[in-house]
Amino acid sequence: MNDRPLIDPQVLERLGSLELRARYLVEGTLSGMHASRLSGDNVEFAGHREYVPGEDPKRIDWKAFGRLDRYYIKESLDETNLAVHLAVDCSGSMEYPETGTTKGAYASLLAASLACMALEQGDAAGLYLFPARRVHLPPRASRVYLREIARALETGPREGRASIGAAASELAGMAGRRGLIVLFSDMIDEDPAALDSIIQLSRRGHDVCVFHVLDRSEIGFSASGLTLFCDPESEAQVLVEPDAIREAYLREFGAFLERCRRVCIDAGVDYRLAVTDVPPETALREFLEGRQGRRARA
Amino acid sequence: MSMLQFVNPGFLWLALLGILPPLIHLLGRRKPRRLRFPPFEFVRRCEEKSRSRRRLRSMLLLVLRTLLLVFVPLAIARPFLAAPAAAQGTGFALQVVILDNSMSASQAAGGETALDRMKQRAREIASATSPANRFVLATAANPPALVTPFPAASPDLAREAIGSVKPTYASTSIGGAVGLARGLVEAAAPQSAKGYLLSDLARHAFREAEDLSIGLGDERVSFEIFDPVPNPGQNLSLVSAEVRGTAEGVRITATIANHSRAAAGTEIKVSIAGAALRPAAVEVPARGTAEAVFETAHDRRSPVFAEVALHPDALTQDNVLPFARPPGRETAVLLVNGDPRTVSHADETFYFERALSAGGEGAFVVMSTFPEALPDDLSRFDAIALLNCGPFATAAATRLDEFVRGGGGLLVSAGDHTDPASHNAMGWLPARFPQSASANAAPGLLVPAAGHPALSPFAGGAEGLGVVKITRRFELVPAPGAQVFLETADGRPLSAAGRHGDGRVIVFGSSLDRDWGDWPIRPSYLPAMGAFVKYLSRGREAWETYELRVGEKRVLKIEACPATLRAAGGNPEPQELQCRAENGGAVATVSGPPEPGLYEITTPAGRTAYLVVRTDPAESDLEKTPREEVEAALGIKGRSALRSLVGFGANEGSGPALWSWVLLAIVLVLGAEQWVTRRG
Repeated sequence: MNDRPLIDPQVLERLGSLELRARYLVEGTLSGMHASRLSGDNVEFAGHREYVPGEDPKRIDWKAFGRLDRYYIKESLDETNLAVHLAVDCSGSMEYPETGTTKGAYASLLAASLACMALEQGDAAGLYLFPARRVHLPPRASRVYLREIARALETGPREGRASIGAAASELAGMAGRRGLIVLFSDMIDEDPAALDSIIQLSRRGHDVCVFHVLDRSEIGFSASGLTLFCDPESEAQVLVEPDAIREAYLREFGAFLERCRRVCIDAGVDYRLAVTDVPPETALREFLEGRQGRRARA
Repeated sequence: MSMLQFVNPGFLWLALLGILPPLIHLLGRRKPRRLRFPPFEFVRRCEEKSRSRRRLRSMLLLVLRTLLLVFVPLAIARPFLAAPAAAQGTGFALQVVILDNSMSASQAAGGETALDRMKQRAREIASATSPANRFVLATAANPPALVTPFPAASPDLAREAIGSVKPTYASTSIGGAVGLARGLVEAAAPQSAKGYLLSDLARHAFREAEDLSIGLGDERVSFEIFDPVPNPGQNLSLVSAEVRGTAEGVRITATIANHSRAAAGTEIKVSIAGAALRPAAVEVPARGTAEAVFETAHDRRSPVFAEVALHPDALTQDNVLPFARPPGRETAVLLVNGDPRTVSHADETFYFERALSAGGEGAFVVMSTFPEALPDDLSRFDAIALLNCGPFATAAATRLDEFVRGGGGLLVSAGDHTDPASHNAMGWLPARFPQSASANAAPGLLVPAAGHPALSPFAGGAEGLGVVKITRRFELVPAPGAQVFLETADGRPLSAAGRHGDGRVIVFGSSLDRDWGDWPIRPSYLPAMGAFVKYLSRGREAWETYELRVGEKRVLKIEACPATLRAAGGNPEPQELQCRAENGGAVATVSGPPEPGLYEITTPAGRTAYLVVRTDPAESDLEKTPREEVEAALGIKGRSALRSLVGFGANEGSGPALWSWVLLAIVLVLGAEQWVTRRG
């Protein structure tokens, strides 16, 4: 594996739209990996639709053009053998930290990148945002669908308290046939059964992957000086001298991380700890390498 | 019932520092930083779990730190349990305070003087003394004095006595005061005793290897040293002021000493009889001296009463120096030149005049004239020298006769122009001249009768005269009653002295220039000529000036009893001196006045003498004695230091010392504070 960075973080930062950033990230990641794309099965004809400028001309049905003198594209009923469901936590806790890359932005970029990757290779990609005013874009295999996904990720509301259990139940109902469910969340949920609902998704035959998105300061508890801690989801407050509780916090939070990891691994869920100070291409690459490894083992 | 008392109660104010930790806790709360933190629940849970423990820890730290800040001043205040005398049964504790009120104690210390601070400390000690115990206060200004009633006083009386201690101009006598205290401790026979040395510790106050310890039974009394001015300011002092007459008036030379370790400049002012001269500025090197010279017109026959003053500094008492110069203190000499020459070194008066000038400016006031121009009024001269003079007019001879009989001095030297007949015609010279002079081959001069005042510089040996060559001289014939005090090597009289009326006369049988010998180029010539003139002018001395130090006792010769002493130009209240007749005159005992200044002693015969009373120059040096040396002298070095630190001294206060327990408490509190802090 070449460690040379193929993604320039500054370029990535300057790219305004999430779609562009996702494409840039995917291109860089795949070229670095000597990409081995996922292959699909045979295609079942569904019908024709008019060509939209901007689409790949290779997809134009030239026979239809010869007959009708108009550009048509031949669509299949089921373009892919894989439906990728991207579930992104948009609760208030994902809007952290207040400066720099937030967990929500980091998760959105990873989700968009995965969507781009899936769509580029002909798979279907859908988006599910939770918890408030849930947004659901069902999986589709159209490449232009990436724009809608990216827009939803950018404009989706980021508020409310996350309920991973409810989100998982809803997603299970919507997902239908087996597919790849990728969950992006900080997993901060008061419900102790939240992890169980993720396990349920796995048991229903879905290939589940969890991106546990966290900021470094949450793991290391780097706050210092008298601090008024506020809950971003409930606005509760507590005044604490961080030095006085640092040891206890690190102990408790470490146990929480370990529990998440252990439960996921035991249930066959692909668990990925994504810390926002790690370059996103690194996270993406590790994910893809992990996928290849899993397929090889399967 | 025992009473809690303190050795240093002044430090108890510092215990107010104990309110600092609660104040800081209440007022110094920081404004918290607000942070939206997703794993809030984890923080809240951890905070809830540790809340009670942290509150307890905070309270503990607050209490421990408050206790620390209270205990430290308490320990410095050195508490002890003062038991009443009845309870002690066997006696009382004695506080012995040696208070240095010498001149150096008047040095500035902040807005007050060092003495003020020492008195304040003495009051604190008296306040800390139990009413049942006793107090001794001895002052160390020379002569040392017991201020409290003998042998010891109650603390109340002691406080009154402390107030009565005044600053002095006297020198320091720590040894004397300690000696006084030794006797008092012995007389009072206390159960225990503690000493306090309140002094500026100036170097002059302590002599090397001096034992300042006080014994009580088999033990030495422990001493506490209090230095009110650890860092003394810069001090310059007037060491001396010398006044000499000049042809036009007087020349005043003031010597200023710098006792500091850095060079310093000062302004120096001189006033004569209240009239100020123009001030001068001098730069005095570190630990060195400098001179300032003032010249002014002044009638030499009038006395000089003057004062030199420096710009105020750390010690102002040594910045003023009065002095007096009696009238006619310099000898006015008239040289009558019998052989004037145009070449100066060939002139008859050339060597003689220079010999008189060589002894220092102002010692002699010399004027020259010729035999034909002898002034009508000779009374303004102390001595007249007739150098190689020819025949005299009768009127001139008569004026010389009156001059000598009135107390003047006359020196007659010979030469080529000497007219033996006219000299011999005077009839009152101590020697007659032969008709002619004769050659002399043998070198050297002899002193036939040792101890003649005209040869006072050679009292220790006349070796210097042995090389003098007199080639020609008159072989003098001494008159009856005259004293030959100088002879040529062949034993012939060369010089004779005698009295005429109140005056004195010397006849020298050879020349006093180089015509008849080489004496003028011999080293013995200068002192001999000075001594000749001083001997001759002694009949004109009017009064003496004596210099004394403050507190110094001196026996003075005066004309007659009774004698009184009073400040010149100041307090007219006279003080009668102890006086007794002795050897046809009288002697008076002067106990040095307590203040510097100019004093005069008067007798029934009129004014007799002036006393210039000055401060001890050593008092001006504020350099400190190393504390170790003082401790060694007091016998506390290495012995009581640890005792004093731990507070187990037998002589501590007047009861069991408690501050060692306070010290132990401090250590325990400090340990607890550290333990709680590290427990987090």
